[in-house]
Amino acid sequence: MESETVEDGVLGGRYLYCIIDSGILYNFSRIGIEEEEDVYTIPYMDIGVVVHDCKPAAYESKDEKVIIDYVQKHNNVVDVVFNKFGCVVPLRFNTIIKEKACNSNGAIEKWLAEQYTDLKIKLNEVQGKEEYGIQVFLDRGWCIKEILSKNERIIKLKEKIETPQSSGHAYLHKQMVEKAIGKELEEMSSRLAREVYSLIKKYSTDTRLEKTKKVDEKKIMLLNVPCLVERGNVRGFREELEKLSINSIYIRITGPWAPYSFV
Amino acid sequence: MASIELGEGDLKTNLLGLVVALIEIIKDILNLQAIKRIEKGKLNDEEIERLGNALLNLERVIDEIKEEYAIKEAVKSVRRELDNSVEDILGMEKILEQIEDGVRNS
Repeated sequence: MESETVEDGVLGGRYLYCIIDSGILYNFSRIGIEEEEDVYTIPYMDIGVVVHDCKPAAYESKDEKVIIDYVQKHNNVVDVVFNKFGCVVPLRFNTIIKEKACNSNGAIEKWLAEQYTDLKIKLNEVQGKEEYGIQVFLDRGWCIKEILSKNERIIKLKEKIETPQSSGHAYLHKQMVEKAIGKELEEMSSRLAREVYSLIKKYSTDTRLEKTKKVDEKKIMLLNVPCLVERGNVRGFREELEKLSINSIYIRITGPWAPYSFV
Repeated sequence: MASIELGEGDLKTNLLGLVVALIEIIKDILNLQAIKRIEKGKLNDEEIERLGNALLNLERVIDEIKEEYAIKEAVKSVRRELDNSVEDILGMEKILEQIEDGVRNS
């Protein structure tokens, strides 16, 4: 949306944080990216958009730290709005609409009118729900102990390398034990990941399977799943997950968050 | 496209780390091939001993080089980067699909 009348350096832009399911006028004060600008709502029918006034230009910097700070401030506003209104559709960092005049909301209202149906659908999809981040870890040492004490084939192989034998045989038998443990560990991880993911799916209206990360030598990350959970189901969900946090499995739950991963 | 970050440290160390990491990977592949042949009963005792000793010696030499040139961390880092790149290219999507399929079929 181009502006022809707003001069450079004038606050002819609106920086958009998120959409709310309420047509209320509300001022959150100066909690946003711009320290000098209020964060407030612009209502349209029964929905609203949370904004601050800005220059009609994207927030950019060559310094990565500055960008991270912008994004954190953006997310912080979305979290504050989420805690206040309970239902938000977060918008991407650097969503800016240019107005034709500083005191005009014409462009933003036009945008809201065009997007109204889609935004209502998205708001309905996340109504009464919260996003949680679930990360599931497996204790590698505990699993290897289990495998070494219960897997018959590996026990036999291990016995073989413990009996005196020539160096070439000993080396390859040791490699065979390591390979067998690795394979068993992989199967164990895959089975546990499926079990925990089934439970997460049972309690969630939507999930995203994200890439797992390498943690350290001691832990294996089995799952990294943002999920959308109905508020009424959160307690039961947490209790079920906590029951799984025994022996070898450690579950990290973060949230509630605004539904960043699902809109 | 996947890339391997060599970091900003000494270029020689990083380059040597990369070379040794690649040799280590080749040694791991040879180990796997040897195990497969043993499991299929394709090697007699003498061949197992010879192959085992050759691979053991290779491992010792690699360890000595890592020690001598203080490149243990550099090798580890290259292998970690390579693992991540391989996962990016072909691993993760397949693993994620398997989890989804497993849950659907259970």
